[in-house]
Amino acid sequence: MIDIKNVSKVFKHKTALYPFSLTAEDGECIVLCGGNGAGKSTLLQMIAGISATGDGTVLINHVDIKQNRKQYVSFIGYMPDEFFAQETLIVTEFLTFYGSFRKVSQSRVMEVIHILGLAAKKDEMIKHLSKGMRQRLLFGQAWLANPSVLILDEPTNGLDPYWIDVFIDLLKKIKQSGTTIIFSTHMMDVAAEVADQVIFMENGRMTEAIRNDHVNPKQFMVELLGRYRQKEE
Amino acid sequence: MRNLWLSEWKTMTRQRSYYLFLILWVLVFSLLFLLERNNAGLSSFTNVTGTIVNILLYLLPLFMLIIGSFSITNELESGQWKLLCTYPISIPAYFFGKFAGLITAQAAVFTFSFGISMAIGLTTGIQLSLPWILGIYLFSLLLIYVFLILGLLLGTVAQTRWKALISSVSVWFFLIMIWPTALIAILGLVPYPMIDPLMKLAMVLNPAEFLRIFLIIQWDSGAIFGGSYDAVVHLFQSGAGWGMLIGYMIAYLVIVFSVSILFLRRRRFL
Repeated sequence: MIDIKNVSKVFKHKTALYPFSLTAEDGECIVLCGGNGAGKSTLLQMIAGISATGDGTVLINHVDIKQNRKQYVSFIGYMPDEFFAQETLIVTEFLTFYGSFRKVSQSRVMEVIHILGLAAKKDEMIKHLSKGMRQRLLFGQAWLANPSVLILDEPTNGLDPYWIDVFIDLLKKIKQSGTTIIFSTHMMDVAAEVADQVIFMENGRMTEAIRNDHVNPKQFMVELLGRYRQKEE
Repeated sequence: MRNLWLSEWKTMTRQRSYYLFLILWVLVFSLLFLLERNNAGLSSFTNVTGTIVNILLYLLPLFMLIIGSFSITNELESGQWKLLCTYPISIPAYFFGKFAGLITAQAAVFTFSFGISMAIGLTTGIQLSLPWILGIYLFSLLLIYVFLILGLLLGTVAQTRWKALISSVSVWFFLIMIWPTALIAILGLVPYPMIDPLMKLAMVLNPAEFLRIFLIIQWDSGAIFGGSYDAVVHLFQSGAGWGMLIGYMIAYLVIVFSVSILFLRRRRFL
């Protein structure tokens, strides 16, 4: 469960995020949509505990990072947008390294490698992976320990249509297991498929929050695209 | 901490530049040893020893400062530091893990190349005494140790690799290149009774100077420093000398690490 209360971010001369509040229950999926500079990544970094929250607070499973950092970070899995992995590490080593901080077993590392279609590349250095493969690996790092909150910044960047489909199915399964998911994307079809709530952001403000009441994801996608177009115009 | 050490070790040893260091050290030492081929033997502080010590003093601190500072700023720039902040890992553990990996990798490449050069030297007929070999080797390892720690500190202050490079070169220039000149200039300005304590303070403040003086005194050549250092020569040659060196190294580690950890805490944003 995520409980965000009045978090804000001001850089030297610019407000990146105006006071923002949001609650997400267990097993809920929140999708952040909006153009560049809308404040999506800033908000996700605050939830991940790597950016100050101003006067506000972020609680994960009722734990505040300022009071118990160790417990807070044990609940989350974070996939950053901008990340350059150690090129000379081997795929298995990369996941083993991050998994070791959360006592993840080697069998789980191998399971994630197989699910993410990286089995054929498991003994190769990261520098030999394509952009899409690196994205999958980075997602694997976040998901490895089965966290109760998954925070993903533009996770579909660089994925081909097949892997976007696989990713959608995977997120649905993860959601069903009770994990709360929050991620940013520009892809309305992905948002329509998995979101329980879509939040539109613009210039550091939440402009609209739409609940997914549609049985058919396509109808929801049409609605989202309409809203998106309206905002862009 | 073990996983950080292992990751740092693997990352370092899989870089091509790592093996360039190996070639560089082999080349430098082999040439220096060959230079001494026609002399009677290397057993104390001679002009060749002085050259070797000077070359080590020029090269090792600069390389270690750059390697140490880049190791941190590289992670700040690549996003790995932020990602690690989302894991249950303490900053001291992160710092010690990184340091352990770096020093293992650097000590290994230095030891290996020193060994190769020695073998080359011995096959060409140079006579090397064990205390001399151990002295140079220990001096080099301690230089690696102190300047890697200092490099890590610079990395926590600098935000980018470019800034890390500038600060590393600046610190190296100040501590190694300009230090003697600066010391003479400053000592010329202070009243005579202050010269002696200031010289001792300067020796403690600059780890390279401390190590250089310690090594030369251990080779029974402390007389070259003149009367001002008589007390230091006496102290370092006494039984407490090695204890002082160990104490200095531990104090240096604790102080520089504490400052670095403070800076890294600030970098975590919370």
